[in-house]
Order: sequence, then structure tokens, then C-alpha cells
Amino acid sequence: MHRKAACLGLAAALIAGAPALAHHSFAMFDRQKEVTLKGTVKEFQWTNPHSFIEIEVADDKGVTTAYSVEMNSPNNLTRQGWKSTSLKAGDKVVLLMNPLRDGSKGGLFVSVMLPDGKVLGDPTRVPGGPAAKPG
Amino acid sequence: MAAALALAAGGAIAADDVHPASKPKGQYAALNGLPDWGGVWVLEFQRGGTPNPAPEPKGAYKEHYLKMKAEADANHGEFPREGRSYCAPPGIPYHIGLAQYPTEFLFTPGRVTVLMEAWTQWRRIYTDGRTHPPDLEATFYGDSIGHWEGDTLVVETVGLKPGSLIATGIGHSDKEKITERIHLSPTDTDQLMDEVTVNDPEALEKPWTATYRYRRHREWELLEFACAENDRNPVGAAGVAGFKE
Repeated sequence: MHRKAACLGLAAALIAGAPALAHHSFAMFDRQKEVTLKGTVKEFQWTNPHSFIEIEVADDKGVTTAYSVEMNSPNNLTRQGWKSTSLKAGDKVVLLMNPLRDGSKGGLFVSVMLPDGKVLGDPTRVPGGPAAKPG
Repeated sequence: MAAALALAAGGAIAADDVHPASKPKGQYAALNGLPDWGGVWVLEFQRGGTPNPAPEPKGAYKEHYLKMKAEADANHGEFPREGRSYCAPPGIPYHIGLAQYPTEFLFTPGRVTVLMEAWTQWRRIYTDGRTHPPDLEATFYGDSIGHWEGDTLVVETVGLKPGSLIATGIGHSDKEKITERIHLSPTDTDQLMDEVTVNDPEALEKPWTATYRYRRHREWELLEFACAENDRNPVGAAGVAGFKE
């Protein structure tokens, strides 16, 4: 479940949504791929130098897999409209991430749809919407 | 008694070393003559115009850069980390061109203080006429002295640590000197410009000059960035960023 990131989406992510390049390289993430995770927030780590969304995804048989999704730092997230309370444990969400190249269970945050339908993150990449389908 | 006083003062500071910046009372009125740099400033992406040139390393510095570049090319553009932690600050000139994390300038008598949201650090630029200390210990942001030429703050910085790279993969010698000319744009008073020149006759073929532009946000405040809180990206064996699941 992935697609080539559109140039517009990638540019917007670099400006608005991507974590701080100041800290470390993001070469570990495949920025050309997007993975959709439908799952339950286990923990929202509102921390420096990066925030993380810990999310559990259940398969058809109910077996869950845990993913770690790396985000920007709280200062920059604050200016993008986030709060430490934007996500909480138990929230059912749909999330888009650029996966780790090595196949580990994690990635770089792109956007998330909250239980009430509100989208946070890259506004051009709506999780679960038409733009997120393989193309 | 004298020995006790010397210990209390750190053992190396004599009374006549106290500079005007440390005795500000009575000097505040002069600050009203300085330009308005109020608010918080964040780097602008350049649209059009001539892009900044790349620094040109030479000799062993060039060889080192080419080695780092080859490793980066083989690993999706990631240059090996040369320090021990990604939480170490970048120093200057790197921070001058740092995106996203804003800065704020404070004018007080005898000095300009640059508050940097990234790493929650500061630069001190002394404008009270002092010179660089003779026995300078190298630091990430060095020792900065400055003076005003009209509405332009001219800053000279020396004493930079090896970890303060000129650019990714390009280190510097102890001869490095950074000059900055910082002023409001002549055509846009909500844009600040920093014209940077890096002189390093041992590391660079020629002085490297770049201009950075920043956008004013009067409504913003600086926020906290404390890198060590939850660092899940350790430096790996080959200097490549790790990911703690």
C-alpha cells in the first residue's frame, strides 16, 4: 500500500510537516513511499527532539503489531496546530507514514485523521482519502 | 584574602577586566537609536535570485569532504555523523542557515544577544569595544564581537570548535574567522538579512560568502527545544542515524 509521493505533496511535507532536519538525517525513511496504518494509539510521546506516535494495528485475526511513528519536535508541532493532547491512548486513527527502509515497524509521520475526522499534518495528504490510495 | 577572592572569581578574572556590558546602568537610552529588530525571525526559503554558492574546501579538507560525500551518495544522501550525538548543536555558520527554528535578538547595553530556539541556546555579540580574549577556548558558537555601522551590525567570530562545520562534511581550521553583516532588507522591513563570509585560508580555496534572509513574526514567541529528553535516534556504528522502536 504505497505510492510515489507527488512533487507537491513532498514539497509541502518538507515545509510544513517534516520533522526538523536540524537533528538527524531522514535517509532511514523512504520518502517515496507512504503506508497507511489504521489502528489504536497506544501512546503519544510529546517529547524532544522528536515526538512519536506509538500505534497498534490489528490484522484480520486480531493479532496486533506495534509501530513507532517519528514526528517533528513539540515547538514546531505547536506552530502547526498540535497540542500535547491532540492524540491520546485509545484513539482510533488512520495515519500515513513514510516507512523505514529496513522494514522495521516504524516510519516518518505524514498525516493523521483523528476520531472526529479532523486531519493533522500535511494537509495535501489526507489519510484514507482519495489522495492516499495507491496510484 | 587575595587567594580567596581569586578562587571566588574563578581564579583568572581581574577587576579591570570588567567591560561596559557588565555595567549597563545609565546606558539604556542609547538603545533607542538602534533599528527595530523586534519579534521572532525564521529563515526564508529563497525564491528566485542567485542561490548561495557552495563552500570550496581544499587539501585535506577537500579529501575529507569527498570521502564523506561518497558515503552519503551510497546511503540515500546521509552524511556520516562526525560527532557522538545528534543532540550536539551545529554551531555557526550552520545555525545561521538553519530552517524552521527561529531566533530572537535582544539589545542591551554593550551587547546583542541572539536567542536560538534550536537547542535552546544563545549567542553573545559584545559591542562594548572589547577584543577577542587571547586564550580563547573553542566552542560551538565561538567568541563574537561586533559594532554598528549605521543600522548594520557587523560581527566577527573566532574560536570555533571542530564540531562547528562550515557545511555538511566540511570542517575548518583554527584560522577560521566568520564575519556577518546583519541588517533589515532595504526593500522589506519585515525581512532581516545576514551576509556571512567565512575566511579560512587552510580549509577553503577562497572566502565563502552566503546571504540568508529571515521573515519577521511579531506574534510568535520562542518555544523550548530540549534535545536530550527522548532521543530515539542514536548515532550508529557507521555514523548513520538509528531508530529505536
